[in-house]
Amino acid sequence: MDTQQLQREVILSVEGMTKRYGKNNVVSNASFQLERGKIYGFIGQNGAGKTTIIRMLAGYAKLNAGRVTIFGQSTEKGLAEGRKKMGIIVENPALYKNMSAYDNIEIQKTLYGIKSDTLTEELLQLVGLANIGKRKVKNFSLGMRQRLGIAMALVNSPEILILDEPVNGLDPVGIVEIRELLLKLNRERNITILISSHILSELYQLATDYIIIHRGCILEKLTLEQLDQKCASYIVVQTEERETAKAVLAQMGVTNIEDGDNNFFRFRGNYDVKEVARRLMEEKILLTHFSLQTESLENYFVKLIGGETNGQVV
Amino acid sequence: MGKLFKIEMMKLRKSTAMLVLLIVAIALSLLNVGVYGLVNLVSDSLLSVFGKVDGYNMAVTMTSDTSDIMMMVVILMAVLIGGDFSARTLQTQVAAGYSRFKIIISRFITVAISYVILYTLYFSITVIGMTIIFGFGDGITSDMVSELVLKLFLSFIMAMTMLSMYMLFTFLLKSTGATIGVCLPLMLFGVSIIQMLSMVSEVVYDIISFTPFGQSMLLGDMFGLEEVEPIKFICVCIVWFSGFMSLSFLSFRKAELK
Repeated sequence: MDTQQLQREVILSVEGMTKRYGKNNVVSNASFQLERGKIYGFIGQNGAGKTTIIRMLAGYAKLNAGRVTIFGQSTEKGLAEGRKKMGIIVENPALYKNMSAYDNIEIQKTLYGIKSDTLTEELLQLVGLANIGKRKVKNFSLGMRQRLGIAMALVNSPEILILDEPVNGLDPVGIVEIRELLLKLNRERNITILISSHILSELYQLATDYIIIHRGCILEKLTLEQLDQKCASYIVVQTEERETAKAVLAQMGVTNIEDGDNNFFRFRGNYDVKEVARRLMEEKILLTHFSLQTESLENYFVKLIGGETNGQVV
Repeated sequence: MGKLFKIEMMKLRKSTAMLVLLIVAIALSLLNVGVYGLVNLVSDSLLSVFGKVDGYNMAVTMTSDTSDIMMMVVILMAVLIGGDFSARTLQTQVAAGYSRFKIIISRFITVAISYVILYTLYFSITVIGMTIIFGFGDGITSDMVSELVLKLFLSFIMAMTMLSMYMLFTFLLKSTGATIGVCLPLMLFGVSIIQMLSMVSEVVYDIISFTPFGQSMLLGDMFGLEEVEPIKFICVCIVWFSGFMSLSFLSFRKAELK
């Protein structure tokens, strides 16, 4: 199997997943696939169904309809076997708080029947907790607990890591640490990661693919490249010679100019930025600002879900 | 299963609750011995109020009343299993591919071992202490020792049956506070209510005799096993134990874990 084939290997797939609580459809007919080696950003508002899907993938909750296939297995027994190759953190890491980080990893090793003598130290080293491994977890900060949670999820050398809101409540330094750790795991161990987060700018720096969920339905699945293409780019210009500049741009075929305050205006379209700048400067128009701005993932997401916000996503 | 059990033992060794309960069990047994010893020093006539006091009689009494230890074990069970639910450590075992049946059984064995440890400690310190002060007893026959051993055995079977019921509540309620909130009042008032009900009529008494509560009342007779039919006792315990464990499994099998 060559590298390209490995990259495209589907290791987890969800088909028609449905979950009902009473008459409420919390997840409706959700389908998506995870390919080996990719990092998936799982995006959705609070209550969209992200955690419910993750809980079903972990086996904590049963599906009302649909099918989950992990490493080609979809029977109860096969799924249980498949889950042994997964590391899962739902909301907060499951830790024994009155034990040390070292003991927590030892317990996880026992759980998976791993006998390695050096693994505990290696994992503590990997997540940067080697020097405080003997300290009780109850004295750990939120960021340290998250990192320990990831270390524990790595005990069984998982091929898939599923993380539900791993940066929730972390300070900026903690967020960067987790991001770098996840990128390192993906790069060095080729671990496929599914990560849900509200911090979309953070996901944008991490994910190679996106799954967008709204009200229990998968709205869109797209790659980073597709997202970049879909997030419309604007050329933003500021000049005191606004009308002259507009006339020059009109000659270039630019028609959709939107005026702003302070002599700003912007337009979108498939224009060569360098060419636009060169033409304006040839006409000796003094530009006080000239930039290419891309719509953020946040804006794209809000637009996709129909402008709905609950004050939590954006 | 072995791995789950090993983890439970690791948890038990590191558990603050277990440590506190061990200290409480030692303190309670020393208190028991101390009270009798003190009364013995103060007045022999006061001691006669308690009946015949020696190591053997204390051992017989302790097989009839296991409520102190049972209460401790229920608290420990609520702390360990309820804590596992709230910390999601139990869910980790589900995600690691272990069957929910194995998870329940490993928890029950741990609870049973905790009971044995606490009871043995409580029983042996008290009986040894009483034997040191008052002697083991005069005229102890091999029949009496056999009866004591049988009572200990039946008491253990009863304890396991009752623990399986409290286990059911723990797996239904999935929280330390709620489990303690339900189980302790049940322990405190359950037997008294059943005792009152059994006095209503012969029929009610007969019905109750087919429950662990009814059988535990018979076992509670402090100085003999005349009322206890060992075969019926064991059958009642096995049936109810199987029922409680099956219900625990059925409720947990379908339970949505958070």
